[in-house]
Parts: sequence; structure tokens; C-alpha cells
Amino acid sequence: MKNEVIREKEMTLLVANLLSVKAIFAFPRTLFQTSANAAWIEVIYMSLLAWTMLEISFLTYKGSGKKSIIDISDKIGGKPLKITVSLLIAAALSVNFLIEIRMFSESVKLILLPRTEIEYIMILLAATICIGQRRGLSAIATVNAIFFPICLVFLGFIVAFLGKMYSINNLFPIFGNGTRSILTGGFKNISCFGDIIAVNLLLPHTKDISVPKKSGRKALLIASLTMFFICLSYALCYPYPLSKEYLLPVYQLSKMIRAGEYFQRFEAFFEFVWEISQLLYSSIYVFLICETISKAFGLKDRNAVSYGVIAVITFVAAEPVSVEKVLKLSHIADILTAPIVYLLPILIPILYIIKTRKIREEMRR
Amino acid sequence: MKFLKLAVIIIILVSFASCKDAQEPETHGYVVAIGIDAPKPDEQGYNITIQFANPDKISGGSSETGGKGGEESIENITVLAPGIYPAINIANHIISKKFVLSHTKLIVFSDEIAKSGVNRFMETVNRNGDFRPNIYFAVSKGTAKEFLEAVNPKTEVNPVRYYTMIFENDYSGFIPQDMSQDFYLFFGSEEKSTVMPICSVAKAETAGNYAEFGYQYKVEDYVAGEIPTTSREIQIAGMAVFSGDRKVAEIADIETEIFNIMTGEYQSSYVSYYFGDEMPVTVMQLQKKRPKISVDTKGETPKIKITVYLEADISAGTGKDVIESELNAFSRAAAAEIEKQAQQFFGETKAVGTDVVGFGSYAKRNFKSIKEFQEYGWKERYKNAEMEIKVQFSVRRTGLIVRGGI
Repeated sequence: MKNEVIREKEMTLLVANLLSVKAIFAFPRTLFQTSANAAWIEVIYMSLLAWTMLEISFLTYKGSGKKSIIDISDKIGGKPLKITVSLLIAAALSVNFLIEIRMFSESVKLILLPRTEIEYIMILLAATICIGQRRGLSAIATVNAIFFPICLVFLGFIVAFLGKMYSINNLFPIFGNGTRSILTGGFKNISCFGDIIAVNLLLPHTKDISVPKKSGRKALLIASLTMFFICLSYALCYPYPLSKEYLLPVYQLSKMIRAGEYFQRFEAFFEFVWEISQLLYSSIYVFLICETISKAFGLKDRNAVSYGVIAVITFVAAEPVSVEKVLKLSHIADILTAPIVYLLPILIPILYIIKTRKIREEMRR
Repeated sequence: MKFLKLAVIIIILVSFASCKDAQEPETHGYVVAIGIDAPKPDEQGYNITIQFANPDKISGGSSETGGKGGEESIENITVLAPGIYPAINIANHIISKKFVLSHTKLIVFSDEIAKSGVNRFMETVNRNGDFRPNIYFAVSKGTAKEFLEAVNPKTEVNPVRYYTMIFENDYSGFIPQDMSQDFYLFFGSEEKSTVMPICSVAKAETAGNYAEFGYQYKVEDYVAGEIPTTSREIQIAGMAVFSGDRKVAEIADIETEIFNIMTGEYQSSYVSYYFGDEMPVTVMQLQKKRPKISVDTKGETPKIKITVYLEADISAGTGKDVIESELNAFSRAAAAEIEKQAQQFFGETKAVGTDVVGFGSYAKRNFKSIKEFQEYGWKERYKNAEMEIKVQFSVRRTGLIVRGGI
């Protein structure tokens, strides 16, 4: 399998897309449920937590070098550990991904195609992802580097055009449901930035060790700011308790925009941002899942794996009967996947460093 | 292989072009307004009137002669149904058009429905993406059906634009400048009560009796239907005050303007002030700056301070030089008049326990958490709130004439 190398800018935007997509979809609603209109404070807190975890994981890079945790686990415990770690990561990514594609398809059905079968939408999405990921990491990264900044600009338009609708009073009481809710909620919802694990998984695709460090920090900053501005705008426009009820906050915001008598129906902006970023997100995600599985079992043809993965994930994603069940599942998934995506990139390199030190000491003796 | 790729591309392009289920604009019935009335005693559900645009009669429609406007551009159909969507469903079986709600601009509730609660309909509007957030809600003095049937958009070819022009008129203060989104954002909240404009068909007893009417703060206060005009059509003026989702009071047009001034949504209008024993002085009154509001919640009763900034340009006077030489006295008198009217307005809202201006939103600033604010019980305390109203009124210009040796 050819090792595709991506540049710093491409990696930054790739990871930023992975981290930002949740902000565009239903995640802000979760934050408003825990912290009410203080969700923007929770975003700052969550970002700091995610930043801390990221910096800790960077500290281990010195000892482990340009190797992903899958490569390292192979060195520590051989095939059994490599397969275990890979499967854990693939499972965490797959659970996140299947919820995301189901929610995306449901949102498309709700907003654009109310009479179209959900299965039909999901199959079309799966076909698009197949095409996207077949092109490989370089192609995805290049297309993402073109479109994701455009998506951010459009999101910026949405936030800016809402200026007239902002009411500072909606931010009060300043701590929403209370400081305790922000602290516990922020800890629970840290999975929002869980896709930061991509920085580690993409390590072998970078030129040197400085690239993922710089990209990881920049990507987290972009995603934090995106989430922060979305939550702040939503809080400024929608008072509590109504703010915790809407399924798609950014869509609600884009619906509210009215610039004069003629410039209305800005949700077209949202739909553009939403579809492009979701398709690129899905392609990256499937790439990461397939590469993880391929590495685990030493498979050469990633494309063949991807067809199977997409088919299985689409099939499982279509299983929950209602959106309400998907939302419940997403809460469970967030709790289960957060330890894997945050702790593995720290624990495995630490084990590796310990092992290499022991070997060195033994060699010295 | 090349041929196969080309064939797949062509098949995809053709199948995604969707000519099979294409829909032409004239096949749709664009709902512009919905009226909701209570059923007769032996009926169940609601009498729902659907007012839809006739695309052939609207400018830009398929008619070769162009748009006609007026009554011809809209049609009404009333059905008995348990809600808006069931009504659309029934109407789809009666009219040869497929009804779409994406252009709906107005939902009118009859007085009876408004008094019994509109929550059920808010839920429909909120839950479905078909409705825009910037539609208008209104309460009809008679039945909503009568009102919608009396609508005759003579001056506009497009009925949607007709409603937009009426409800979004920046030069009128008689209608609360409050869109539907404000209603459903706050009708369930603890910080603010909500309002809807009142609409009505002009009453026969006042229609044709043209009388002095206008913005004079000392003249009578009217609600829709009572305004003396030569027109026999619809009137929209005043506002219905809601506690939760139920209408509890009516506020007439002059006080509605006070409401708009207090919320800062007032833009400008011509206002006549009686100054001394002379004929009224008419000014172009403008609100350039939003009111400054502060709420003190330290004591048992909340203390509300509101400072309103208004400016005026004299548009018509008495023909004597009295105004130019007494601008300060006139400004003080106008400010005192607005303060008096505002006290009266707040007195009425306090009597029914409805904080329509939304002082509760400012009171929230004094609390750290929602729980603390809920425990304070704003709505109950507002009834006894102490109001301190200050109006800064200044005449900026006297038009193209300056008299009195100035």
C-alpha cells in the first residue's frame, strides 16, 4: 500500500473538518441541554480539556516518533495487541460514524427530501463516500483544503448576518443551569472533539513530527472557534428553554436570517456548508476506519475493505427505528468512545516508552 | 470500459434530472394566510380557512396579460379539521392544487381561540420546516374567516407582499413590531409575555364616518375595527396581550405605540401633540436609540428604570411662531405626555401580570443560574414592580421654516 503524504495545511483542515462537523449538526443541542444558554462557556471548558489531552499526547511523540498508536501497539505487544487496539479504535470511529451518517440522512429527509425513503438517501450517501475514499487520502485532503475554508466562510456569513437578531439578554443568567452543570457537562461532552485521534492515526502520512503537532493545535483552535461561535450565536438568538429543543441549531439560525426584504431563505447557505463538509467528513472517516482495519490484519487492498465497511455501517445505521433512538444511542456512544479516543493515544505511547527504556537498560546491562 | 463509464454517467444524469416528478408552479396552491376559528357547538375540531394565492392572477404568473391583484389574486376555502395539516389534507382533496405552506405569511386566530390557548398551533409552526420563522400571528376581533374574506389587496399584486407591507410598516406604531418568531420564542418563557396584533373587518357603524383620528396622545385610543375611516375593508391596530399561550387583555393603538417605543422597535411616525389651546403640532417622531433599561431585584419589589430617547422634526404647526420660541417647553410637555401614557400602559400590563416589554430579560442579568431566577418568581413580582420612566424628547429641526426671530 502506497503511503500518501499530506502537507501541514491539508492535515490542519482535514482534522478541523472532522472536529467541526458535529458543531454543524445536532451536538450544540446536547450542550444546551446540559448547560442551557451557557453552552458557549462549556465549549471553552471542553476545548481546554481537549487541548490538555492533545498536549499530553504530544509529549509522548518524542519517545514514539512518527508512528501511530497502531504501529506502536504492534511493537509493544505484537499482533494480539495491535489487533485489539485497532479494533477498539475502528469500533469507536465506526460507532461515531454510523450515528453521524444516520443523522445526516435524517436531516436531509427532514429538510430537503421529506417524501424520499431514508434508505434511498443513505444508499446514495454511501455510494458518494465510496467514490470519495477510493480516491485516497491525498485527493480527499486536497478537495477538503479547497472546500472546507469556503464552508467556514459561509458559516461566518450565517453568524454575521444574524447580528440584528442577537439579544445579549439571552446569555443570562450567565451560568445557565449552574457552574456544576458546565463542569460535569463539559467532561461528559468532551467526545465532541474526540476525532482529534485522527492526528495520531495520520502520523505516518506526515513528513515529520512537527506537522501533526502544528496541525493538531490549529485544527483544534479552528474547531473550538467554530463550535464557540455557533453556540454563542444560537444562545444570542434563541432563549432558554426553547434553545434546547431544536434538533439542528445551525439550520434554525440560517432560517432566521433576513437581510432586507429580498435576501431571505439563507438556509441554502447552510445546506451547502452542510453537504460539502459532511461528504468530506465521511470520506476521511471511512479512510481512517479502513486504514485501521487494514493495518490490524495486514490487508493490502484498502478499497476492498472500504466497500465492506461502508456496507456494514450503512446497514447498521439504518437499523434504529426513529431519530429519537439515534439521539439516545449517540449519548451512549459519546460516553463509551471518549475514553478510547483520548486515552489510547496517551497510554500506548507511554507503554512503548517504558518498554524501550527497559530494553535499553537491559542492553546496557 | 470507457463506454461503460460513459453509459453509467448518462444514466445517472438522466435519472437525477427528475423530469418524472417535476412540479410546475401553477400546480401548487401557495397558502398565504390561515385563519383559525372555533367550531360550532355541535362540531369538533376547528374551522380553518386557507387563503391561497392564485398564481395565474399574480404578476409574474403564467397569465399573458400580467397580474391583476386585488381579490382575484387570492382564494379562500374553509374546512373543519383538527389542525392545520389535516385542513391542508382535506383542502387538497377539494381544490385542484397541491397546497404548500412555504409562502404562508399570516396566521389569524379568532378571539375565542386566542382566549382558549394557541399552544397547539405554535407547536405545528415550530415543529415543521414548511413555515418560515418570519410569518405573522394576529388575533381577529370577529372570526378569522370573516377577516380573511374581507382582505382585498388592491394596492399590491402579490398577496404575500401585501401582508409584508402591512405588518412590517416601519412608519406605523399602531401594530406591535413583533414577528411570530418573537411569539414562539417567548410564549413559554418566564421572562417575558407575548403579544399579537389585533385585526378586524371595519365595523359598519364606524365605516364611512370619517372622524379625527391619528396619533394624538390625548385623543381616543382605538383597536382594529373601531377606527373611523371611509374604507369598509380590514383594519389592523392595537395588540392582544398573552399570558402563556392565552389572550388575557387588549391594548389599543396609542398604547401599542408606547409599547413599541418601550421595546425599542419603534421606528418613526407622524405624531400630533396638543400644546396649549392651539391646534395640534405634528412632528415626525423618531427613535434613533434603543431605550436604556435596568432592573434592580435586590428588594422585595423589583425596581425598573427605563430611559427612552426620542427626537422629532416639526412637520406641521399652528402657523404662529409659538413653537419655535418655546421648543424646550414643547419638548418637556411631549416628554411628560409620553411618560404619563407609559405609566398608564404599564399599569394595565401589571394589572394582568404580563411583562410584555420583557423587563424579565433584564432582571435575569442579576442572577447567576436559571434556578435562582426561577425561584425569584419574576412574573408574580412584576405585578408590584416600581417603574421609573424617563423620556428624553428633543426637537431637532423645525422643517424649512424658522419663525420667532430665531
